[in-house]
Amino acid sequence: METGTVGAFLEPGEKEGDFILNMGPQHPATHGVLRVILRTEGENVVDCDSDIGYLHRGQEKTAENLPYVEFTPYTDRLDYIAAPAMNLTWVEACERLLQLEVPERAKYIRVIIAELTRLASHLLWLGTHAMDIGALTLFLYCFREREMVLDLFEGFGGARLTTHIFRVGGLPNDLPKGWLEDLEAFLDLFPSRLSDYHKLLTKNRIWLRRTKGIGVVTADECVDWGLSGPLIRGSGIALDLRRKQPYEIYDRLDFDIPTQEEGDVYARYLVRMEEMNQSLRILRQCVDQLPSGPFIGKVPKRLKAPKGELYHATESPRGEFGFYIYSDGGTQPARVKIRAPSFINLQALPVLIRGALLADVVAVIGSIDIVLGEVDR
Amino acid sequence: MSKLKEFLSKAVAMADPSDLVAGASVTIKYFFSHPVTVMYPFEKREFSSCAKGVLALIPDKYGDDLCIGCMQCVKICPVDCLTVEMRKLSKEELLGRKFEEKKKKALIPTFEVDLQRCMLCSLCVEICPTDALEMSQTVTLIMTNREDQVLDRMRMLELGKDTQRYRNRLAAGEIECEAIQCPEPKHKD
Amino acid sequence: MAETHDKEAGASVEPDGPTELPQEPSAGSNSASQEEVGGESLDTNSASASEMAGGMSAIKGEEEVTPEGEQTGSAGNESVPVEAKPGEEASTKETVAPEEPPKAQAQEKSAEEASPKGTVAPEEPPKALPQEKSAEEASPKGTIAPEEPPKALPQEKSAEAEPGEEVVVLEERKPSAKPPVSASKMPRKTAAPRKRPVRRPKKVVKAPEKEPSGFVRDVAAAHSEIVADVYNRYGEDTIVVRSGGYHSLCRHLRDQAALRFDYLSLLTGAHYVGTEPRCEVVLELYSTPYNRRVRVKVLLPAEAPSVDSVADLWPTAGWQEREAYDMLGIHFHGHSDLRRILLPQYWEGHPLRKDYPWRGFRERSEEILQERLAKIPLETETKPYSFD
Repeated sequence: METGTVGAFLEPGEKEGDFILNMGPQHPATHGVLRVILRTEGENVVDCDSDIGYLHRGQEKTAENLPYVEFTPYTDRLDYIAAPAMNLTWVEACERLLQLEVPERAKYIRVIIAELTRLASHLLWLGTHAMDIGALTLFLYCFREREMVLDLFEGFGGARLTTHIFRVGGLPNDLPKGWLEDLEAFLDLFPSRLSDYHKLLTKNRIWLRRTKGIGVVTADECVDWGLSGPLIRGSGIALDLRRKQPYEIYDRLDFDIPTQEEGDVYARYLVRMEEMNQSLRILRQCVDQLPSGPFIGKVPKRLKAPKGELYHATESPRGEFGFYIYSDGGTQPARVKIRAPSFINLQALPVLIRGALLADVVAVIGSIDIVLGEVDR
Repeated sequence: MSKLKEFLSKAVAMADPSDLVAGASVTIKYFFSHPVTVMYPFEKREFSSCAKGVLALIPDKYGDDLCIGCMQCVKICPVDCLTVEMRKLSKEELLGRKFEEKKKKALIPTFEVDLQRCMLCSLCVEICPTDALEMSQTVTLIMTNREDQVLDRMRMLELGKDTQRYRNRLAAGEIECEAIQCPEPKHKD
Repeated sequence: MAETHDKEAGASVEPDGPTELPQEPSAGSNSASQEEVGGESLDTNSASASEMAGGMSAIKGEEEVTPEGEQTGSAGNESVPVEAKPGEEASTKETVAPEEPPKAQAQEKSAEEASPKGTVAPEEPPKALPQEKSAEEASPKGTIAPEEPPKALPQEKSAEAEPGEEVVVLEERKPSAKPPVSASKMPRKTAAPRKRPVRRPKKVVKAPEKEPSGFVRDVAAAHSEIVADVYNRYGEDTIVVRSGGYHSLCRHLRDQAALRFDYLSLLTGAHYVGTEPRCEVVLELYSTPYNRRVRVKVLLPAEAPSVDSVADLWPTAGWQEREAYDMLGIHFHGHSDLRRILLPQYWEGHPLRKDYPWRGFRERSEEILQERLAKIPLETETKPYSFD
């Protein structure tokens, strides 16, 4: 199968035993409404094509018709598993465009929330991914811890899933009383829970058989296909925008970028597990260094961006998430393009499942960690 | 020979039960721990005090709202779920009236929020110059028909009363948290 | 095509959904000059407020009474809306409540809340208001609103004329422009324009520009015949290319050992209308070895835009070009599989073009969709599988 093309919706091949199999859009293992069309030879997958757009809501068109501030709640609905990460990217892009200053305290709290988001997102990924492969136990354990993170979101921003937790220029409110103590209690508890997950999966023989050597993608292919996030780090390239092009206060924090060389499903699993560990490290540092001060900077009442364009990307739990904003000098952007990591990672699905068995497709899709709200926008 | 070695090492790995024991130890540990779930309809979990529920109108001490009809909330709403009508009072009319909000010089005959559209982003609450709006603790939006999803001014004020009471009790330290019920609509027929 | 779209858009504005917030046309002609001069002055305030009032009445489909509208339009006669009844009754009942607010406290409160945020009418805080704090207690909007129309005049004038002349012109025009203004308010009118020149130097935010990086200038020098422009705004280097040499420049950027832009972050298109309608293709390139970014822009005509595909250089461009085609109708030559990706195959039009209305074409009913669906052959026809 040549990699330059993702073929048209597939036709059955000439060979005897070729079969076209439709997976989705209601298949639970596709995490949403993804339809994958597979060409199989017996149990081997030969080629595949994805049919997306079932969740398309025209977010980019909406962004072009709303003032900068009013689009922030819409970004929740992009990657609804990691809504604060989407908010963060949008408000940062707006702040750069409008040249607003953000107070130090707000920056720290933003990083705290962003890292909690990473934890919540990876926990959901871990639970569902393990459940797809057959490890049912882990699902509820992961959700138990994810609830704690969502409770923290609720305590700060008032909402759990579609949080709308940041504002252009800072934060909607300061940390409530007792919130940091709750966070610290969670930070004390979580490492033991993380080691439980490791005990359940990392050395488990079934898990190893299902994930090792499956969905291999090399470093060069990662770069060619524009993969980002744990996919590219699982193939040995330490590409993490938190380190490469630091935003907020990431340049002041001490953390590692976990990488693995193998580039298979298991490598991505290890990368994400280690990322959770690193997030804990970042959270501890932020809690220790948290300065006092105002939580929102000076924001003009009517935001009017100068003429110009910019691309602002951050490291969301799924990879490089960015906004390209073109402003023509009005109160609304003239063009907004959302760089959705899930969309671009999903594109490489034919590369990832080449030579795989039918049952591995589920594991591979799970390891890409797609959210269809972001793929379809 | 190498094949035999491979087979033997595999066999040893298969025979080693440490991974299974480690996994089982975790499940057994949690088997004896307390459940973390809540039996929902019988037990209700508590919300945080800044949970964002349905939009409510805060009443003043005369029972009227604090809205001055500046329409900023209507303008900023990203989904256009608010319908506000304002009638400005003349000086003569103002003479006989008392409002807690000194800037209030208008009546608000209509203040509606369409809950089917509202996405609880709280932008209107933040922009309100007189703090007339607040997010209540109500999150139950179960209603028997579509029309009830549009909260009118009286129901919003009722919610606001509850919210105010809740905030007062919270400030006094009487309660930790308490959920508020959405007021039943009064049907016309 | 464009005209029909516009017409349809106009016809399909439904009463309950404000398709247009009070906004400038999204084109480049963004009334910049007017607004920049007026800035946050009362003049724009009144303009936008009335605009808002218009928008509101359009939204609700009935008469809306805003503070300004009332003052200028129907000063004396109040038309009480029918729906107002219950609310009014309630409030009248409640206002008879025995308790009276302590006067002193209330005074204090109003004084402390006389910040622009509170006192102001819908749009932006007019800075003139604090100055009128003392009078505000009487009726802030009453005093301000009638002033506004005359204020607009000096502002227009002063754009061309000296501030000194301004007052004279104003006094000439005053009676004719606004007869119903009462005499008591005259002096203040002359006071306000005098303040205006002080507020005139308004901070105009501009995109920070600097010299483009060295490697970008080298590229531009090496390909001077195809590079139209090079600039650096917001710290991001941009190369604007003519569509002819786009592919070769991309190859150069990717393969040159000193550049190595091997990672395509983003490929998108854009469509702008206004003074110079155009389409664009934008590439955000990232170099993994050197950790730097560059943006490549290709300017295309607005009608039937087409450009070479770069999917052979970066396979990740495949889906993104499909999306650009789907959303903007940009054709990519040499793309192996240019189909719609997010929208269904039967869709007509390209939604992210500016001539496509935000909320779609309303008259497109379910039946029309079904008709169109019936015309399209099924995407896949699996041949029946035999088990022998």
